[in-house]
Amino acid sequence: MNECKQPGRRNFLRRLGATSAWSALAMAGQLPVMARAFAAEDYSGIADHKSLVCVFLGGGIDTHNAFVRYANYDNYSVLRQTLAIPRADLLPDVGGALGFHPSLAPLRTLYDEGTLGIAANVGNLFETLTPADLFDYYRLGVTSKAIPLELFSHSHQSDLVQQNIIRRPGSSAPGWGGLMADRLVEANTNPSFPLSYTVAGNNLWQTGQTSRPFSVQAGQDVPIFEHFNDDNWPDWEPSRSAAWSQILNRSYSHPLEAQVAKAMLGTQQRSDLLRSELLAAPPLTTPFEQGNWLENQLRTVAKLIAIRQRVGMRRQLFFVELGNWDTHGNHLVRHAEQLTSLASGLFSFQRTIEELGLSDSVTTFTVSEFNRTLTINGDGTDHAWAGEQLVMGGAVDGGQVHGQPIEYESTGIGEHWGDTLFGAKDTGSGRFIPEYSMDQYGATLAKWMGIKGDDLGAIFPNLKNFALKDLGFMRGA
Amino acid sequence: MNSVPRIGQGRRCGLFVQTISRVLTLATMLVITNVAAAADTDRDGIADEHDNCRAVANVNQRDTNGDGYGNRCDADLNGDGVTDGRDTNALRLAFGGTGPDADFDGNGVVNGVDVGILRAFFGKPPGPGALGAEAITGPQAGRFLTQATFGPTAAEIARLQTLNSYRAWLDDQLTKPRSTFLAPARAMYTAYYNSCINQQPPVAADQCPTPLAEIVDTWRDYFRHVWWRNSIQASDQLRQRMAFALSHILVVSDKSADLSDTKFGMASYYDVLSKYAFGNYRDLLNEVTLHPVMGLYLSMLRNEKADPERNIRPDENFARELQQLFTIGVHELNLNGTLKLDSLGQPIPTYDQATIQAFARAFTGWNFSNIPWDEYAGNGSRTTKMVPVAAYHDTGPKTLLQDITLPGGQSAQQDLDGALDNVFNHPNVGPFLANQLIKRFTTSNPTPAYVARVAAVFNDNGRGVRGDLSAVLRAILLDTEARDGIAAVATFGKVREPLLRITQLYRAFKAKPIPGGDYDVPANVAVFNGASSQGLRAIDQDIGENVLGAPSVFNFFSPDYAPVGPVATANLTAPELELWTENTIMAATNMLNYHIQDAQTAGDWTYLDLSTELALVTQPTQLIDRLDLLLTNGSMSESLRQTLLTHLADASFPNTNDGRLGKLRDVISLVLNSPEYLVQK
Repeated sequence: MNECKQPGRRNFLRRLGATSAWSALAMAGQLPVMARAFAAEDYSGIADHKSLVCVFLGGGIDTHNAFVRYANYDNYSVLRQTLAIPRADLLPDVGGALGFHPSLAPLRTLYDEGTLGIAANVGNLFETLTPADLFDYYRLGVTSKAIPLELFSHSHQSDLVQQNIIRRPGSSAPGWGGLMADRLVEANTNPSFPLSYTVAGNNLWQTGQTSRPFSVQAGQDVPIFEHFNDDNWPDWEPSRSAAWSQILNRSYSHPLEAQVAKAMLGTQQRSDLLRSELLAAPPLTTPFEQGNWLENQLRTVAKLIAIRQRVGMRRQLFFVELGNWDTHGNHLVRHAEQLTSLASGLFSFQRTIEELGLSDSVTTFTVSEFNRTLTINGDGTDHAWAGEQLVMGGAVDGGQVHGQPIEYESTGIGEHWGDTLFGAKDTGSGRFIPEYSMDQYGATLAKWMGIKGDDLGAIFPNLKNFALKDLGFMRGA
Repeated sequence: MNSVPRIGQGRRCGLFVQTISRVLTLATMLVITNVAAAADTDRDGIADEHDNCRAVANVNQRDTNGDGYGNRCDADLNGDGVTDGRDTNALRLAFGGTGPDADFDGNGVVNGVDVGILRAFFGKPPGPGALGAEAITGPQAGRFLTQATFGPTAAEIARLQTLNSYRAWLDDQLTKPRSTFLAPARAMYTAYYNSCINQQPPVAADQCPTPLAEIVDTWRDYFRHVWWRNSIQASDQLRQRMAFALSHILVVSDKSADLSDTKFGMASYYDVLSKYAFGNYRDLLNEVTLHPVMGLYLSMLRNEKADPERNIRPDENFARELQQLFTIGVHELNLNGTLKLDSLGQPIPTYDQATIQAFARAFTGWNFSNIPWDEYAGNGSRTTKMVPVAAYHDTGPKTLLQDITLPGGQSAQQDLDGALDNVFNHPNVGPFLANQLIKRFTTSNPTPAYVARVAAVFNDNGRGVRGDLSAVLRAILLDTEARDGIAAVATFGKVREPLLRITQLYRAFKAKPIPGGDYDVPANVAVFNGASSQGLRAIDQDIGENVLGAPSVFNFFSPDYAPVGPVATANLTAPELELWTENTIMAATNMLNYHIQDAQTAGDWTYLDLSTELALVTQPTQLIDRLDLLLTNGSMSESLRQTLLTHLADASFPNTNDGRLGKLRDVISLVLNSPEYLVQK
């Protein structure tokens, strides 16, 4: 591939200035060189391999019932009432301090092996807050502190964990994964090949200023445009694909048409190579459960990691999703089913990565828009804030909980608008303000991926508000 | 199957450079070829100056009395220069015969359509310009029907032209009998049940669960079978299209484990959406709130009052999404849909956590209509309204939106009425709903003035009524911005959503259900044989959309979605593009092309009748005009036209029926996958 030189950037841009081909090519991922325009740091010298896998837990996972500290069991049990996991059913870790939900046996194994760590008390946060700050905001509509907007709303908090900026309505800020990809793309030797992949559709996390993810479907080959390729049938058929290319390559002044043409062209240009490389990938032998949607997605991720060298990839970002965590009702049953899927999916993925010999260079982490209320609504829980996240891989300082866990009492220590407060950080009914922000959590992962210097602050604009820049769950980062 | 040649790296780089030069060449070509074509008002391929009926497409220029006026423009049967009562009498005499003069539309018989045409000309002189500048042209009719129905058909275009009034068409639609969902879904299931218990060799009775069961575990998707039938065939198209739009706002989904086997419940819920499609939004909110399917989806069903002893407080799920997604949104809005700002320039929240908790308390104490509070929920009715149970209702006072308080001691019904009144009367509802509904029908980027006009109609239909959805719908479709389109606002339009791409294809080309089966799946016999999935069964995976099948209450796409690229750069939104990924782009293209290219022998897929178009292949201009009329509604660019005409003229096509069919399939595929078609304007 090296006998073919890309046109020099300056030359290239001048030419683009005269044509509308600009948009089509940018969409096709052909302009990674543009990343240099805003990156303060140089990543072209990266020679090793690292992949970061985001497991998005859509709907707001309840972590109170997933990981129970035995030292706090009595308080937990009083507040969780009929939804508390009985002490005897919890699965203790090797140290005996942490009880895993009975559906999480595979995760306890990884935790005890040291390849799974827990980041405690994380959530959307721009600076350290107290409940009084929030109540001021509710009462006055303003506060000197930066408050994450639209707290407890699925859509807004989902956007926020991925974007990690102070978001105002209507803004379409890029995601922190995408901002990493914009920069790291110069580490890869074949810049026309996508750096980011999603197995769960469009997402903000991987949407950068110039980069966006390539979307593949779990457990399926990358398709082709079956009726718009060079193998027309019957043989006499003139080139349908040539006519279609002509249509797509036209310049469109209507922005929606231009966007659609770009998307079609980008798909056509990027799918062929990926398809053939994936078809040629060696088979994976680690068993996995085909009916598990998360495992299916992660299996596809493992294949994309396996072909990294053949396509010149040194840095890769992946996005998968396990939704349905919004357990307002039938909590005990649904939550157990969800945790079973999560544990099984993460476990088989870690074993697959170990099969590939890449445990130290692949890190998997979870993100969810919020935790759930510690108090219950009968047979379920509602939207809350601070929660725990999982980090998995050989580079993770596993087998421990990093950070100060959420603290609470079994009886109210105060009241706000008739709502009981169960701890110093409770905003009501067990909706706790996080101790650590998603900026700190994301920056710890980004640093491990090699993001450095001013770029950390550029990607995580709230990091400057916290003394602790690294949550410490990655080894040697 | 197609094999994909491995593309070498060198070639790929070569391609990269080539692409630029090709685009440059094309751009140059465009300047040269993009000269104005002669005016052709009805886009029938005959320039106005030669057309014997300018406002209505009449490709064959049929003129049976040879007076130079095409039959379609000549209802003056006695030739006295005006269409009047004498012509009505003449038509009456010719009625039921073959004409030919009185057969204005040339369908071979003098019938009601011809009566309608005569009515449109009544009092006017005949001639090429008979309907004058005021006449609705074919493309205009097609464009309107694209917005208002599941896709224009040649017959409906002609009918709208005959009426020559959007208002009259809307009036007619508002009175059409309502197509239903639950009754036909149950009938289908009963038929299945009867064939199941009577099959040979016999099966155990429990293999054929009773048709009256609340939960039915079968892959037969009764609700969606009916949805396809109604969307493609029903004459109450506007109502059906409105119900579909409402399903994007008042979202429930069988992706939820609570609803996955609730086929009849889903059909019943959709009956509510279609029943109130032209009703009042306040009534619709009431029906939706009390429907057990919504009760299950957002866990308002069996939501109980706080019990401090047990540390239980009310469920906030429905209370929150009712406000955020169904009525007012999170920020205060101006009438024109823009954000109200406070003195610091910040948006103003419509509610806070305390409001949510108050609404959650107001919505306590509702249960299935047919079983006690504690009985197994699987026995609860999915098709009849929930009922109040006083013991579980919170009777304390509740402070709702705008500091309006519901007094203590009210019943569950009184609190529910009060809470719905409170949210329905919030000034946000008009602009919030106007913006969302406009995006479902006409454009992703309405001007604030358009939103304000529609919101004002929501607030007052002209007779002092708030929330009249038929008036809102009329305002959306008759607005000058909707009618003038890109002539008024250059960015007007919306990306066609995947399901509508399919319904439009089926309707435009007279699709027939798969023999013995439905539009979406093959014959019933597959139930017993365990046949693999065919037709549209895997549609979710392919195109990312299926009716009442959104991933969450946040629907398939957000009304504000703005992909990076030309759309975000221009500060626009394109909600439907949130579904667009490499994967869905290819899958949707392949699926639509499969219908055109491969599935033309009836069997596993819905069959399209392309005979009308096939007859036009030897007259390429007329063929393209027909596709432009049906698919792009007269907006096809000269450059797309040229590409299609060049392809049709390619000498590689043999001069055989197969060759002609190949040409036809190709141009349909190319139009359906062109940016000009994919963006409805």
